Amino acid sequence: MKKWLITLVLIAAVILPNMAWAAAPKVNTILEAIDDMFDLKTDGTAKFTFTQQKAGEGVKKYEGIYYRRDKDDSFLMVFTLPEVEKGNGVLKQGENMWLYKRNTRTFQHIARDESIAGTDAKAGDFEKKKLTETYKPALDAAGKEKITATKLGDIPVYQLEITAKNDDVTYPKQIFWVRQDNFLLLKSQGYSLSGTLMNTSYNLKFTQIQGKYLVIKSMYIDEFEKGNKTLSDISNISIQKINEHVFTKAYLENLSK
Amino acid sequence: MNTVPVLAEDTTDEDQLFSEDMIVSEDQIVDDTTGDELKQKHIGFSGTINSSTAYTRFDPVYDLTELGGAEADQITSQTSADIFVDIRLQNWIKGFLSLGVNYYPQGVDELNTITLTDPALIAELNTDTLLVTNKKYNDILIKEFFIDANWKNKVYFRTGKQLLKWGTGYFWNPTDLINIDRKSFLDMARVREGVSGTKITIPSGIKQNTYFFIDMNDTTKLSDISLAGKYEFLVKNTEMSFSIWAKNGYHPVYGFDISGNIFTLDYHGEIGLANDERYNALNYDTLGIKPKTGEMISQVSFGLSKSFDYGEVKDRINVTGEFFYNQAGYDKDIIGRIASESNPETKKTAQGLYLANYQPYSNSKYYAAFFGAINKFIVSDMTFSMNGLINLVDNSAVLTTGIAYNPALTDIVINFNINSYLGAQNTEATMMGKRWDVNVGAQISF
Repeated sequence: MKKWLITLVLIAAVILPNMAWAAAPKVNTILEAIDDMFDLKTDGTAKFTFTQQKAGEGVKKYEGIYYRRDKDDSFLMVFTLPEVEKGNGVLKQGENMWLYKRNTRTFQHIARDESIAGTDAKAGDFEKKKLTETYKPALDAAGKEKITATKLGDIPVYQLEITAKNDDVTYPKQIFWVRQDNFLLLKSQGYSLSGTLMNTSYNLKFTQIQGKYLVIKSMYIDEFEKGNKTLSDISNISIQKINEHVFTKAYLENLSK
Repeated sequence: MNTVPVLAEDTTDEDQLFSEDMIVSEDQIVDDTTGDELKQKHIGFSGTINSSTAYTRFDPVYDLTELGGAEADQITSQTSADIFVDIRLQNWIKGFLSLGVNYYPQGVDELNTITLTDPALIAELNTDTLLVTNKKYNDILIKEFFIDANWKNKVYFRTGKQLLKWGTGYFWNPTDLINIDRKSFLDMARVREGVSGTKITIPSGIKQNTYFFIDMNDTTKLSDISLAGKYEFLVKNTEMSFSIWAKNGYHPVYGFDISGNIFTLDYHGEIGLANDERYNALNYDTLGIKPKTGEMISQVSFGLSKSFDYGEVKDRINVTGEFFYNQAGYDKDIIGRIASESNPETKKTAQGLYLANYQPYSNSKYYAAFFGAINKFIVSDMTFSMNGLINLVDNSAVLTTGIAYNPALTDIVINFNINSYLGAQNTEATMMGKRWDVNVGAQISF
């Protein structure tokens, strides 16, 4: 009897935790799935809206048009609201990005982290980056990937932690909440290098185009400055091929005031 | 899609956030008319209004121009507006007007150069130009006024008064021979006055652009027109351009500029090469205008920019440094030389010639400047800035330190700046007689 008891304890102590672990997929599998499900291979034009809110101080709305060319991962975005920002924009191809400032009529050849149009949005936020190229699974003290099964509201999710492979990211550490059934990324938290929570993002609405997912409504909560929230909406999406002339400085200057 | 209720929540209820169906069908969101709003007929008004008051500590002893008066304490205020009218027609034809309106309650002295034509007067005064001052209380200036059109999005035309970007320098642009209104070190964001002409842009994708500018400023006949051309191209992450400027009766001026990034540094540089016919400099010994020799003169600017993370905030501190070399510039303390001239007539003439040809912070041979900003300074809506510029020949400097407070979600910016003019008497930064000044102002955007 005693032997049986010892055997059961061993099973419980060794095998069961491993079984629970085995139920969760590998973090890289999830990252690859996310990369794949959002890898929309088409040109696209869309209207974007940022609605910023600060606690007790009302809201401010920014609107603009975003053009993206798939073949060389170029994009052009131009603000249409508020009137004071109308015409400011960003043009990007490869490693090169230009910020057009209407006030000074300058195309500034910039690094990707430059703020745009007075918002907290960085030009690099609009780039298409693969998670598997920029992040890797975070490991615990035992060398195991940090991933657990949990719930977000009523939705079963995996909560996983990833760390940046290089400095070319906004957050060196992130925690993701992804749906267990299809790995859709619902929530993420970004941390600074020292481990301070900086941002919580929720992907609230998605659409599917050509079998790929696109986030069309998100909410960003600034955890560093409590009370600041930004709601991002993408609407009026077109997947028609975009003319070559759109991705030129001359076109952006012509769109501007 | 109702967005406001979600934002209005002070706390986030994840049950509520994810309780609805989160997939929106493709037919509800796809719309092939996106972007058409940019092509619609539209008239838009926008602009800024600035109001500022400055207290200036003035020292007449330092005032080389002798225009600043005798008062040690001076209060000046100014209210300015930049009004923009944006008119869009169909087929990408548009018009734009930028109007600057200034009001000076105390009045300001306007310095004008009068060209003398009477030979007897020229002989008597020993100069053919005179500097005179008028007091003005307001002015209205058309800063830009142009029409845009294009041919099949292959060739773009902009004709009228316009501000051109020519060169990559942050403060110094030696290749820019087109714009007349130069950047102001103390107000780098100022909307500048454009020049009249026609710009033609021929893009070849993102990587190459060819520009031409037909400069009609102050032209009354065909031979007054000057032409400029620029070919801009991209090599990996480095953008470069070659430019040329030509005008009847003058030697051409050549330019080259470059910008890019290496590691985490952004860099920019430009070089202009021009015949010395373009420069009027005084001979240090005689204080007369140096004779032209036909020598090619180079002017070079080069700068580096970098952002630093601080206190958990990415890119919180931004720093740009820039250096300027002017081969035709003074390599000795010319202002001190003028001030120490014993012959009163020679001194007065030299003062006039120097000021008539003066380009702020460009006349000496070597300069350096830095521009620093700390975002989210003390509170999230405040920016601290400190900019400095030094004349490395006479060792004078101007230093401006300030804060700008832009309450979140508002279109108002409150500014407070202290400017210091450092250096010995009769040096570039101190020659206007200002020792320091304090500026308080506000700007609203609409």
